[in-house]
Amino acid sequence: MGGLAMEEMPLSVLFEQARKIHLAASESGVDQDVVKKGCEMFQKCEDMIGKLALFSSNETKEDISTNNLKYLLVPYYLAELTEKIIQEDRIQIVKASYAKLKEFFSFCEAMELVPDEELEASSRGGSGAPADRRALKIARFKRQKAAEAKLLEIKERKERRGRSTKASALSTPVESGEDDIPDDDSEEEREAWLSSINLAICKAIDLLEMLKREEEMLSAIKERQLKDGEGGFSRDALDDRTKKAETWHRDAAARIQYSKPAQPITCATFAQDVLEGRASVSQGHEHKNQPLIFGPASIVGGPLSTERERMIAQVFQPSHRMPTMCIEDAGLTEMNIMNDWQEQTKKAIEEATTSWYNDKPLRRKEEDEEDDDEDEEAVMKARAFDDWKDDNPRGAGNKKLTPCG
Amino acid sequence: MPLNGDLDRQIEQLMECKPLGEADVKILCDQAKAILVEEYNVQPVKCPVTVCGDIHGQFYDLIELFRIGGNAPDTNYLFMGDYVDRGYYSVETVSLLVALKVRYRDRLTILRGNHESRQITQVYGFYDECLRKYGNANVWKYFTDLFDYLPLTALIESQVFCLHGGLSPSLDTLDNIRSLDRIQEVPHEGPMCDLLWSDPDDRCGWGISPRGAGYTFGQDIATQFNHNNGLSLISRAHQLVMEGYNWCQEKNVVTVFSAPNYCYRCGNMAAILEIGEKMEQNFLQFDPAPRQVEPDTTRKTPDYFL
Repeated sequence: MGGLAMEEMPLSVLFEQARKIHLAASESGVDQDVVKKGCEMFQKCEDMIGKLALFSSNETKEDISTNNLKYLLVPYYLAELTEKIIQEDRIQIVKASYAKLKEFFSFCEAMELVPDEELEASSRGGSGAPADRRALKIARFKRQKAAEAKLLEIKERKERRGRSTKASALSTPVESGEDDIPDDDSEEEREAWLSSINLAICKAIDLLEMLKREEEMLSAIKERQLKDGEGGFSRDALDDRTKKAETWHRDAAARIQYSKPAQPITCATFAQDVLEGRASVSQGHEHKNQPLIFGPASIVGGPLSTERERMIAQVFQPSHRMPTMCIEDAGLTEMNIMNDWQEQTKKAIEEATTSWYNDKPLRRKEEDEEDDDEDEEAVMKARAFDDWKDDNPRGAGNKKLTPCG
Repeated sequence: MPLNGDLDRQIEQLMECKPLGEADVKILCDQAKAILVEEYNVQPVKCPVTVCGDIHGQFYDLIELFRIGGNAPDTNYLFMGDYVDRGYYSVETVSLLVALKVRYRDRLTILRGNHESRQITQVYGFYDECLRKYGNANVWKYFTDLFDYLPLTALIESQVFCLHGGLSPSLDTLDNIRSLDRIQEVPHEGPMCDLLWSDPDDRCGWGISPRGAGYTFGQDIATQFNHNNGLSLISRAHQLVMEGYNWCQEKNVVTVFSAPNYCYRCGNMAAILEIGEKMEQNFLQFDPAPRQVEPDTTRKTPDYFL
């Protein structure tokens, strides 16, 4: 295909060539230049279709001639090919591809080519119960398989017929039911293109979902990068972090010369004051999760004077897992868990016993009966326990007495 | 015993919160192992004895405990586990208790808590503290190897059953407990794990523990267990209680917690349970050790020691 010829090519040729690029690109992957060229060709196709006014929104699929049916696929192919372009700003690509797919999808919708269930789902905006979404996906997958099978079948039929006509042409060159074939052909061709469109719709829906997610992801990253000031993931940031850690190590090594760990606050009333905000702890007690550590000796350098310090430095190498919270926080967390637990139990018990005092004014009689029930239940329970005691004499489980130490 | 002089000196050193050398720890742990291996899964204990709960490396509060309850050979003690992790002085605390055990084996009983385990101590501080104080993990290894030998439960005068956590659905009787093979790391599940992890609950029956190990057990379970084994009380630790002790399940179970102002922040009281010569029970509550530093004036002068 000559690049020069693109301007002069008729629509059908241009479409066929572009489609070949699309096929090659989806099957094996091709050069970026070719991909871009294919995109250009499809864009040109779009222009021509627009100028020729091939489609009208007043039509449905039945009104479109077999010859023109395939041009419905142009925005879909363009979208797929666009998605394969590699460039710095991926988000632009994703957006462009997404827009084309949407265009394809809504045109198919207007032509009444999209199944109702997909329309419903897309109007709901992709939400819905996971079970529904799963069912939809399975149905779509089945449609896709059906369309693929159909295409294969048509292709095989064509090939078979090609061989037989060739054979018959060889044996009987004169009569070869010629009047039948074109009609059959066009019917078949229509069927083939419709199947291709169905297949494209299935793939388009999947791709739309994927692109949407990718766009969200890319936007999120971009946002974070903007917030972090350029390189959220850059080398600089990593270097910066390393530098920070090394400073920390060095500071700790320097600090150890004249400091010792903060003494714990051991007065309960003082701790209570701190908890309730009446008193503040000295800076030494605000751990801020910064334990006193020494990095590798190479970082810390000279100041490690004693054997003990050297040993400590050897232990707290970068591989050492440092605490993530200070002991005071850990204690508070544990206390909160205990409190929650106790409250829950209290609530559960209250709920279990609520009825008899809450409902008192309303249903005294019923409650009396219920009381009797409860009494009865208690009696039954006591009886059962007595029976159990008869079967299990006191102390039976402690027979192997051991001598006192 | 020729070693007692050494041991007394070591105890003296430990009482000042100065850790032993690595070699001394190794010898101490070997001696302790030889003593503990002879003890029973349900170790019998005579009254009078003072029962204590979690200490969690709060060394100065342990010293305060001895001040309140009486010094070690003069008062008999039963500790229900959790000597290490959380606090700043796990090494000193567990060293002191083990040294006292070796020195006065009949006067002191130390049980195993859920923190006396390799896995838990690697997460909650004892491992790191050993590294920090000794520069290597040897001491941690000596102690955690020793922990495997600690008895799981104790029985005071065949009446008061002491253990760290609580009951297990697979252990109905003390005889069941006696048949456990206890000398191993605390498993993730099963009867031995339950004894160290379970908690009493106000709901009846067995429940799933929010801790992810052990079970919760109701009053019905505790009543049956006490009847079945001829007990008057289950005494356990394992849970932070604000008053230091807490009766529950119609006095079938009591929780004793002996780490005041737990984690130096919780503002709780600590308690110990004195059981007298006639099995009479008396709780002693105590606050944290007198302030070792004035929190607001800590930094006025630099400290030149670590």
